[in-house]
Amino acid sequence: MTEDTFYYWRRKLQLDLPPDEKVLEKSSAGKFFRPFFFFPFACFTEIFCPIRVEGAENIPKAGPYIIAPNHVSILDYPTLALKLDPSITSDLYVLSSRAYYDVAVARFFMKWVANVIRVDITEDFLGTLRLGSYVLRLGKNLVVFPEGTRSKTGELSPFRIGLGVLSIECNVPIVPVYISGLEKVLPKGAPHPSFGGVRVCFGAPLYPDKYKKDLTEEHAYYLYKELTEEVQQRVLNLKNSVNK
Amino acid sequence: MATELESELKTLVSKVIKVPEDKINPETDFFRDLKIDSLLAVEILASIDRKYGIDIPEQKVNKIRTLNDIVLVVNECISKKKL
Repeated sequence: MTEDTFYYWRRKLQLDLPPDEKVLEKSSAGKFFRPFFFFPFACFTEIFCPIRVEGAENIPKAGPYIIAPNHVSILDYPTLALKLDPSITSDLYVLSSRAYYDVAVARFFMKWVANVIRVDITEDFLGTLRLGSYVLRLGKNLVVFPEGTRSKTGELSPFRIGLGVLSIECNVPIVPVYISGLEKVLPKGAPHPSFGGVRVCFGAPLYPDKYKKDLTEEHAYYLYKELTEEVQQRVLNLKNSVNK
Repeated sequence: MATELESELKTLVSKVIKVPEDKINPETDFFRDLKIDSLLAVEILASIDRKYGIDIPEQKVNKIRTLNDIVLVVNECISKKKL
C-alpha cells in the first residue's frame, strides 16, 4: 500500500494529525459515582438476570481493541462494564447514540459513571468514525455496537461497515461478543425489566492484517465490508453456540 | 438535457455503487431508492476528490442524497477552487 493510497480516509479520520485528547475527557466524579451505580446494578442483575461470562480469555491482554457486541437492550453496555475487569473498563469507551440521552437513567449513567461519547452516526457519519479513531489512537479500547440500534426481535441486524473502517485504518483487532438474554430482560420499549438469565460470550479477536495487505483504493470498501461481515458471522456463531 | 458534469458524475456514481447508469436519475434518492449505506456514500465523495481534486465540506455531506445534490455541490466547489 503506497503512502497516499488512502489519502481520503486518512484526511477524514485525521490520521496524520495528533488525535484530539478532549474525546477522553470524563467526569472526575465518575470514580466517585461508579460504586453508587454498579453496586445497585450488580444487586439488580443478581435478582433479575444473573450474568454468566464466557470466553473472557479472548480479550487481548494489551489494547487498543474494539469490542463489538450485538445490541438488544440499554443494559448491554452496563452489563459489559459490570462484568469486565475494572482495569479493562477504566480504559473502555463507548460510542452512544444521542437518542439515549432522552432516557433519564441513561443520561445519569452516561454523564457520571461511564466513558460515553455521544455521537449521531446518521447525521455525522464521518465525525463519528473520527471520534472512534481518536479513542483507539490514544490507546484506549472502544465498544462499538455495529448494528447501530437495538434489535427489537433479538435477531442480528446487518453490521455497519464503519466497524471495518476503524479496525483496518487504525490497525486494531475486533473482539466479537454475543450477549444473550437481555432481549428478554429489558428489550427495546419495555416499561420494566423481567426475570431471565444472561450470558456474555467473547469470541476470538479478528485482526485486520490479512485485509490490510490486500488494501487498494479501489477495493477498500469491499475489504471494510468483508471484515465487518466476518465479525457479524462470528457473533452469529457465538449466538448459535449459546442457543444449542 | 444533462450537462457534461452531470454525465461524468452519473458515470462515477454508477461505477462506485455498481448500479447501472439508467437507474440513477437526477432525483433518485441514494439511500431510500438505491439502498446504499453511509460508507458507500463516502466512497462516492472519495472518488470525486480523486477525480476533481475537491474536498466536499462535511457540513454539506449530510445534505447529499441525490445526483442533483452532488452536481450542485461539486459545481460550487469547482467554482470556489477557480477563484
